[in-house]
Parts: sequence; structure tokens; C-alpha cells
Amino acid sequence: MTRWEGVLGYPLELFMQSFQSKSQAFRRGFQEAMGAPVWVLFASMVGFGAIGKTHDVSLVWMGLTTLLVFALPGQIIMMEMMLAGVSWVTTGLVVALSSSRFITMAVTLFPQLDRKDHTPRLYATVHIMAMTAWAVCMNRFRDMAPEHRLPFFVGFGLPCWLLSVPATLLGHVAAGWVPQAFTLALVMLNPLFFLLSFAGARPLPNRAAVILGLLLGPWFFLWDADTSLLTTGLVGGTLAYFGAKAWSARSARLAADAQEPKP
Amino acid sequence: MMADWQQPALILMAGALGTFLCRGLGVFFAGRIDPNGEFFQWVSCVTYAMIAGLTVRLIVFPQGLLETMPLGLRLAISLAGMVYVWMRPFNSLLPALFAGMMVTLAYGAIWGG
Repeated sequence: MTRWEGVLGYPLELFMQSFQSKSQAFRRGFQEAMGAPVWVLFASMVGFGAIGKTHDVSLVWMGLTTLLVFALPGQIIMMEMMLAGVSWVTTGLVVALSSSRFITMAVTLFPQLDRKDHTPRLYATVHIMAMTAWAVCMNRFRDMAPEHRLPFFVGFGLPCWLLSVPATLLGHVAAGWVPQAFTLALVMLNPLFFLLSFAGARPLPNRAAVILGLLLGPWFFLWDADTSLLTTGLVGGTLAYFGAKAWSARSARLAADAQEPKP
Repeated sequence: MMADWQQPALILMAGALGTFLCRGLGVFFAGRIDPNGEFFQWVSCVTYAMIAGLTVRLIVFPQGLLETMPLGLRLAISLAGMVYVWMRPFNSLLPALFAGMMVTLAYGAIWGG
């Protein structure tokens, strides 16, 4: 057990026990989400709503993007492309590229579920998967029984999604009377929270991938913005994977050498 | 000419479909992957690098309001937050998030428009 589990503001003891039932797993997921993640997301969505208002985008449209897309980077792209008058075909493609992370996010999260939970219903459930829920579940799943993982995920993701919509609307309505400095702080909170929620990723290859992604991301973005997520992921992730493999092979060899009796 | 509501409605649909397509593809492939295999570990690395790349993009090349804050300050807040996570003086992210927000708020109140 590492100290990562306590990241979201709860003492470690809470995480030591395994769950008795699915409903308990659901409740714990819900409680964990309500600790900090929901409110950080809430604040980010207030910021998003406020920005929409300053660009004269309608309240309904802003609320619907949160309800239907629920991926802040994609929503921001959609808003900008709409304001710039870009065609809907191009917008769809660019948003899909920016959402390509969801493919690998689902591919890494859902195989850990109980086999019985692999039902067509997952195609609806996956909609509440966002960066925070993914980062938290990736770290928490290994400490719980497979049958408790889906309820935990849903308990965590559902309040995140449901509260994001009123948050967007609130931001849009409140934009007029909230000082701009406050909106700025809300907008900064979003990437900062993302960054901190996976900066402590484990084990080693994942941590290395985070660092490489942070270092390579800006360069690939300057090279070609639309495909930069894919290139950053493939290059950074592959380098981290093989680098960490070589590193642990080397550590294992050194440890073996050290244990060998002296002649 | 398109009616005023048409372009926003089409963009909304295209964005929602594009995002759902990716989420759905993920579920589709997820049923065919062994979570203990090497391929799974590689995809995990790729995903972590992707979301790290996306996040650093939001910080280094923001759109709109965040652009008004100097890049150095954005990077300093991010770096301080990461050092906090690695040192882990407390078992909570909240102090780092609160501090980052306060610095941003102070910057906005003093130098912001």
C-alpha cells in the first residue's frame, strides 16, 4: 500500500478494507468523488460556462455539450470551432482526435472489470468516464475484488457527470457578476487538477510515461496540433514502456550480482 | 444560408458523436484484452502519455482567459504542484490545488484586466 491512495483527501485507513457488497463499493466511489473531484470538476465547468457566456454562446448549447460530450478539452474545441465558423465535419473529426484518449482509457480500465460486467450496458456506462474517474480507478482497482470495480466506477463517475451540467449553467448565468480574477482561477484549476491526479501514477512505467508525455506534448503540439495527442501517446508511451523494462531488467541483474557469493 | 441554430446544432451532434465513437471503440476493444498481458501494459503507458500531453497542452497553449497569465507563472504553479505530489507532505491534493488557485486569484486581482 503506498501513500497514493490518500491523495483525494481521505485518510489511508478508509482504503485498507475491502468492500462487503456492490452497494458498499458504489457508496464508497460516490463518497470519494464527493470529497474533492466533483467540486474541482464543478469549478472547471463553472469556468467553462463563464467563458461561453463571454463569447455569447447560448446557455442551452453550453449545457448540452457538457451533458452529451462530457470531455472538457473536446468541449472547448467545439466552442472555438463554432465561433470560428468551421464546418461540422471538420469539427467532428478534430473532436474525435482529441477524444482518442478515451479509446485507450477504456481499453486499460474495463478489462479489469469482472467478466460478468462485460455487457452491452458498458457502452452507456463509458459515457461517465473522464480523466479523473479514470486516474482514480486505475490506482484503486487493484485493491478491490473485480466484482466491486464497476459499482465503484459508477459511484464515482455518476455524480461527476450529473453535477457538471448545473455547474456549466451556473457559470454561464454567473459570468456577469463573478470577477474575472475568479474565473481565471477556476480555469487554471482544471489542468492543475488533471496534472496532480496522475503525477503520482504507479508503477514505474506509468510514471515514466506521464513525465515523457509532459515533456514531449508541447513539441508535438507545435508540429501538428490535431494529431499531437496520438503522437505524444505513441512515442512517449512506447519509450516509457521499453525504457522502464530495460531499467527493471538492469536493477534485477544488479540485485542478482550483489547476492552472488564471493569466490 | 443556414438558419442560425443549424450550425451550433450540427457542431454539437458532430462533437458528441466523435467523442462517443472513441468511448465506444474503447469498450469494444476492452473485451478482447488480457489485463495481465504485456500489450495491456504498453497501452497503459500510451494512455498516461496521452493524458499528460493533453494536460500540458492546456497549461502551455491555453485558449482564451488563461492566455492572459504569463507562461512562467502557469509552469511554476504546475511544477510546484507536481513537487508537492511527489514529496507528499499531506495525504491530500487539496492544499496544492488551493495554493495554485490562490496564486492565480492573486495574479488576476492585481495584474488582471
